[in-house]
Amino acid sequence: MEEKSREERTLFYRELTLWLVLAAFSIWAFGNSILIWKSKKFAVSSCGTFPVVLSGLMLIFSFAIGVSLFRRRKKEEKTETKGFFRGILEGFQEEMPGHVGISLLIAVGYVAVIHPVGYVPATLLFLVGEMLYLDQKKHKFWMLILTAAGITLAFYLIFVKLFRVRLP
Amino acid sequence: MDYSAIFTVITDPKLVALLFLGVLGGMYIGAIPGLSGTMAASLLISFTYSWDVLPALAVMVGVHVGAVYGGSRSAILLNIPGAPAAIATAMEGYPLAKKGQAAKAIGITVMQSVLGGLIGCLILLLATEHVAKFALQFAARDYVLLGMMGLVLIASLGGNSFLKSLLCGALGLFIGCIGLDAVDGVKRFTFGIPYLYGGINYVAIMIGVFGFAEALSQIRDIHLNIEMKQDVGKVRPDFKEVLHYFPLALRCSLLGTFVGALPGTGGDIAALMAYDHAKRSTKNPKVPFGEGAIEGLVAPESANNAAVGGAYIPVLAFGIPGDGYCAIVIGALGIHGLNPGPALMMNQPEVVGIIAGGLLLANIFLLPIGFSGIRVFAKIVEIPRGILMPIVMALCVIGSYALNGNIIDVCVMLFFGFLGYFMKRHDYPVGSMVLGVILCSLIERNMRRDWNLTHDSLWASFTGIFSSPISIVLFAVVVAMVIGQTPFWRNRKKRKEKAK
Repeated sequence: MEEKSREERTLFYRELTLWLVLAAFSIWAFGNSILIWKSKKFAVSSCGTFPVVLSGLMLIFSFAIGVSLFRRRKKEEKTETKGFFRGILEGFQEEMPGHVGISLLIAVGYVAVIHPVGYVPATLLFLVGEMLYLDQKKHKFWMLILTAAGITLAFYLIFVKLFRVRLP
Repeated sequence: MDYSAIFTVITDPKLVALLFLGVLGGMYIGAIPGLSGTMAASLLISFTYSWDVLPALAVMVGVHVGAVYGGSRSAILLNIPGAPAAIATAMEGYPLAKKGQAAKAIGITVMQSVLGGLIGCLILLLATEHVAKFALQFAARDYVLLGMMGLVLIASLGGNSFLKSLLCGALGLFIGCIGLDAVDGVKRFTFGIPYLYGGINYVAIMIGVFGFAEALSQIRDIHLNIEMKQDVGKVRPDFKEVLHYFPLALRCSLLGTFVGALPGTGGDIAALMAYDHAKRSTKNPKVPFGEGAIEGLVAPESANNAAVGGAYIPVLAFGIPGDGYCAIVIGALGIHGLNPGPALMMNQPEVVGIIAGGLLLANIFLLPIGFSGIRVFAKIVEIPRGILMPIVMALCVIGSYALNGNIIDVCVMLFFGFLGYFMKRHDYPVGSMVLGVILCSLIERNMRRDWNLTHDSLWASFTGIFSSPISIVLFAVVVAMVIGQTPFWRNRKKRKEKAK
């Protein structure tokens, strides 16, 4: 039997994880909506009705998607399962390979430092760092610095000078 | 309408120059995610406060036309719609850019935007009163049905799973409920966080799910070194091509003008309805929809620019804004001591002239402005991913910060970017979610208004649908759309096609 790739092996777990998140959110949303509606004595035209209807629909749709997910799983050839949590972990690694995770962390770091450090140094550092990490063609370092500086200046002129937006 | 006033106004060189600058600026504003025409309009009010009313309006009308078109640029080149109205454009424009035809796609959108804008303007000039009277007949439940139609539409357009699309639509509507309720003042799902009292800014969500999520997706495949070499030889569509798509453009422009004339709707729903119409009415497209079908570009672009003309119909007829931008224009008129409505048409025809004539000229100016620099713009797509994606990510951060100068908007953008990345990978259409957030207030407000009118009687509310021909038609369309997406109907359609 041909060994399946990690992408194929973990497809069910990846879909299941996202479905679990959405389904859990739907349950939470429905519960809280009922509480709001209850506080308004279940009046039809109150602020609680619409969220209850929506979260109820979300529950129904989530349930239907879950059923279809498990039915598809039943039909498919079962792969080597190394355990539920192992499958979830492998699935996450497949969804978010190292370079995507690191790029995301760099972006989060940029957002975290933009206020204390300021727009110009934070943006310059972010652009240079991210470009250095992602640049497959390995352009010269001074070219990346120049590009980052140009983009930082362009954004400053557009947002601050032209549109009077206050950047950190 | 006093047509001589229009002629007088559009032959004034100063006003013409301001219109031109407005269109030019508006196009680039609309193209940058995080900046919008509405934002530009708010800034323009502070700039033009001390000006005379005609020059101020000339700039604002020009920016409106330019910004609505501009949203399609980033949609085609980067798969980041500059405005919700460009979501449908991204569905066809970006696949064309991946095939090396970004310049062709931009050329088509320019042409169709101009055509749609001119048709919308023509209807504004000739039929304001009639269209406005018809729009006034729309009751609260009709707006609910229209909003539901928009959601079912986008649910049927996005992805292979209708259920996932409906879930995303409902999720978007739910996210739109977060915040202080406008009527009861109750805090809904705010967790005691003051930022959430005003609700979550849909633009931050849009930048996240379309911009940041797309950047993460492209980074994921960066090792594949996919090159998108662009063919910039032929940019302008030839006359035969324009004529071939003219019937579709005309139908979509009429649709766009009418939907734009409904107060509070705007080009977003118009563009999606037009896209759906194109999908249903085109029997054998040369390229399948979703892979770069030209019809999928013609329809939304002609509709959303036609909707601009339509949006000014209720402004001129009743002083009611057709969309968010028009609300600011009404504010600008108020600052200059003017009240839009029938009295304005009688007492200040030159003001009406600059709006109507300005729209006409602005759409004509869009032609040379839109075609300028296409070859340069198209080359943006050829920039190596490793250089372009950090720039896109920085733009997403700064664009979302620029909304309110609040770092929490950036956090919202990051969160939805992260969520959108996973949703896209598993065929959960994020467009449905964004549209749900946008339409929530329209649907909920009118739904509660309708229930109030029927004294909380759901049965009376439901039977009320059958008391008005407009409601019956809208209801029938929504039901037909939902039935059309069921597995039973889809299989029936497939069997019919196989038999043919």
